[in-house]
Amino acid sequence: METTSNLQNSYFSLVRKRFLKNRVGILGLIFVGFLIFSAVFADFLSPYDPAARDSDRVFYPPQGIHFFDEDNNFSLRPFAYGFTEGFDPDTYLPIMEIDYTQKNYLYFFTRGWEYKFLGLNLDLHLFTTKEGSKVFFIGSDAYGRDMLSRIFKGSRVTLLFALIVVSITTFIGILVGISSGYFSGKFDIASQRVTELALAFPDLPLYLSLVAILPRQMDPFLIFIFMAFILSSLRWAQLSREVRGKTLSLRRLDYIKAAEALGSNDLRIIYRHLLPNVTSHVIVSVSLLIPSVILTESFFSFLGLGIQSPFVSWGLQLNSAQDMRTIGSYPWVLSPVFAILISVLGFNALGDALRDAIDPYATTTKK
Amino acid sequence: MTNLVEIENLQVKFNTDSGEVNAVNGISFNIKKGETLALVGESGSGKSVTARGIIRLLAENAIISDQTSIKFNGTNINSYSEKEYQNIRGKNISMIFQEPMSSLNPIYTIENQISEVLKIHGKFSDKELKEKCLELLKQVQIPEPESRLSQYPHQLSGGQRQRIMIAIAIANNPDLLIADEPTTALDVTVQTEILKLLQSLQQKYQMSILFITHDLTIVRQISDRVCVMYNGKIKETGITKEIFENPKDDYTKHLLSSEPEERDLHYDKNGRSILSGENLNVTFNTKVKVSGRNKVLSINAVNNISLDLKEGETLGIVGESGSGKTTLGQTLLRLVDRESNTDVEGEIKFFDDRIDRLSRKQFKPFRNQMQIVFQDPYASLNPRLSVKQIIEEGLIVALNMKDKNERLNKIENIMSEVGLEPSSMLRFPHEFSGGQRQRIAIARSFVLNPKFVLLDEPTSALDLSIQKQILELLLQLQKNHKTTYIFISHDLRVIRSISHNLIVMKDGSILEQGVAKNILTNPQNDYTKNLIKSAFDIIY
Repeated sequence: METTSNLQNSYFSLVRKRFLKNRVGILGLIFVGFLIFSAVFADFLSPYDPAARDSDRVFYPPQGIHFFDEDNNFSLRPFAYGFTEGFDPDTYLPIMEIDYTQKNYLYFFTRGWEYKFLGLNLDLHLFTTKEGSKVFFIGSDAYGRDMLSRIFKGSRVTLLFALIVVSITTFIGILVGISSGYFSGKFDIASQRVTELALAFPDLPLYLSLVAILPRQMDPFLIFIFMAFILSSLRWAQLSREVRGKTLSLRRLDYIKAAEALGSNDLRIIYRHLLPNVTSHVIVSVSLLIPSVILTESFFSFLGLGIQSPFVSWGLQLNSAQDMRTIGSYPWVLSPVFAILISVLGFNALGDALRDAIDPYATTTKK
Repeated sequence: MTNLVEIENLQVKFNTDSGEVNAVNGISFNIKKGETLALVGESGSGKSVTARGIIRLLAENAIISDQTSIKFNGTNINSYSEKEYQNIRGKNISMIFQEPMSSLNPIYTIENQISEVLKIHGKFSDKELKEKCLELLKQVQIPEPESRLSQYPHQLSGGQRQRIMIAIAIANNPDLLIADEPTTALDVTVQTEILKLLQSLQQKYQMSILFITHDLTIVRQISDRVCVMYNGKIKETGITKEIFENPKDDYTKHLLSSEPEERDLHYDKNGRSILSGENLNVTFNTKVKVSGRNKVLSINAVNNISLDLKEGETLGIVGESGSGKTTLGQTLLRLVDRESNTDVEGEIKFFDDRIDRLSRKQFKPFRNQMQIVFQDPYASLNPRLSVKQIIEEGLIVALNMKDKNERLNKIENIMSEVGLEPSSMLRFPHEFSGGQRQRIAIARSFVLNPKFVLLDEPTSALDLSIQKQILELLLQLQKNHKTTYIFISHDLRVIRSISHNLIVMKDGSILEQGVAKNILTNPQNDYTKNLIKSAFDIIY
């Protein structure tokens, strides 16, 4: 009897090995991991209630952390200086000056504002400040809300939105793709024409007009859900094309015919033999689809057409950065841009690396 | 005779994701001027890597050791730069490949492809080029050479394409021609013609040929000397005739004894008829556009065939590619008529039941009694299912076996019966070698205890020694389970060693039908005679 070759590794260990060689991919994985972590633990990471307004601290500039005060006295507990509002004697424009007497100390793993997590009422936070003092690492917005807390909160909405859109598109894409590739014939011809229509449709005008007919007074949560469906309406087409192509080549393989010879029905062949073999392809498509959804969502929210408050999304935060004067005076309102950049680059890098790693015949061909 | 190529201590390693892999472990051999040296071995023995190492056509992750010395015409070429190698390739050393379908560029004409290699290594005017191309086409004996010049590869048959490849290879009168399995993808009658052509060209140009093959018949037919390779090492070198008559090395002996031999096979000729087909016709209809109009092109893949199998019989179906043998087999199992563009006519009976008109659902109860084993064990096993899941599939869907332990018991039994370790049932197909995979595919069919199994070239993708094991396994299983076989193959040697009766097919029709032994020893039809001659005779 012949012996099994030791050189061959299992499929997934090969994929892992090849993925770990890709440095950009690992960076993407770290970014994405950090994003998911911050989305899940957004409340814990946020020092202040993202919705809490503070009229005393409107457009508060970013504050740095210090361990030494201006007299070089060391303090183990990090602190940040507050600001006092003054006037430029020449222009009479308000300017923020550092107030060295106002030290805002940070307290770690302490209790702060209350939030709900998995049905539990919690109030533990990574860090907070004492009542009356506040630290804004990346400043505050026009209502004196903490930008950092809002970015964490926004990551949750943005990612959840992307997840919903991607789930819907993946489901429809796989359903249409596999069935049209497997059943072929008239069903294939019909579904391919529909797919082509979806691919040829100018997507932005369609989304804009569909969003425009949503009533403004509607519940923000319902708007959120409808938005997800609208953005999913065309995106499934590309994926279904790819899945169909893969199915067409898979169904000619002998193991599909062997399953048929054993008496398997169509549903079983699709579920047990086709679906597992297209998943690797779908995973890659999904990781490349997420950034495009994030971008579209921010675009709509930026225009004020997307997610509505009290929900927070990165695009919605940028909505207040629409005029040059605000950006010129308070540049930190652009900080959600970096969150978008990191997530888009992260998912793209991850998706690219996965695509390179997942193709088992890239270097090792069967022999 | 002087040596054209002297290879000393050739070592090739590959850098892969799972570490370094030794492909060739320090081998040394010479190729004399004007001789044909055969490099024979099973897959993975390193024969192709050796040949490609000579002209540095290796994959990027290949590493050739510093201790290797390759001398060509007395000069040491292993320190040559890529540029210097380019000057040798196609001029002094040229190569033909296994797959004629993919080694020619589909978007260039034949003339373009032949003149390219001439232009690279010399200066010719357009007129000279055309004359030279025509001359080469005549050399490789292509019919109507003038009209071929402006044709594209897809307009030629596989054998003709391989002739074009040979024309390109000999265009610059090379000293050495490396032929890497040049006839493996071709039908056996075409193979003989190509081999004859190579021999005549060799005598004419006085070139050396390094012929790589796994086929012992070809080695006997064409080579002066032979190197037997195994596991990256040369096991034995010598004059071909001497090695075949008196092999010294154990591996060579093992290889030679693996050739399928004639057997005395018996079955009950008066037994019950198990499977019969009467006036079977299968037509594939494809829509094509002829001058803007839709027309239906009908291909008659099976043309009025009748056959009758008795219980315990093995019926061999032999034919070249495109002869309709696979279509015929799958028609009997009701596996071809699912597509809307396929018409099946005729009567198929399994014991006393007519099965040709049954719907897929009505036919399901017969599935466990009629099974199939495919040619390519890489394509016939779902890579995402474990061996247990693969074998279990039939028990669940065909036998509706609900009891887990009963299924497990059956799987264990069949695995040991086909020679697989039952403890390996949780592994995935890629962890097994080609032969073991074929055993898994056989187990998948036999776990249902079928009365009839269609074996569609089950040994063609396997090495000679493994082929023998699989054939013996199939014979053993037939004995244990009293199974009836249809054995489809293009290889007459394999057919001879397993089948009682034989059908010779060509273009969808039966040319000859009868007892296998009688047909093989006393063929009536010219085509059959030619086929048998190509498979068994030695041209010297």
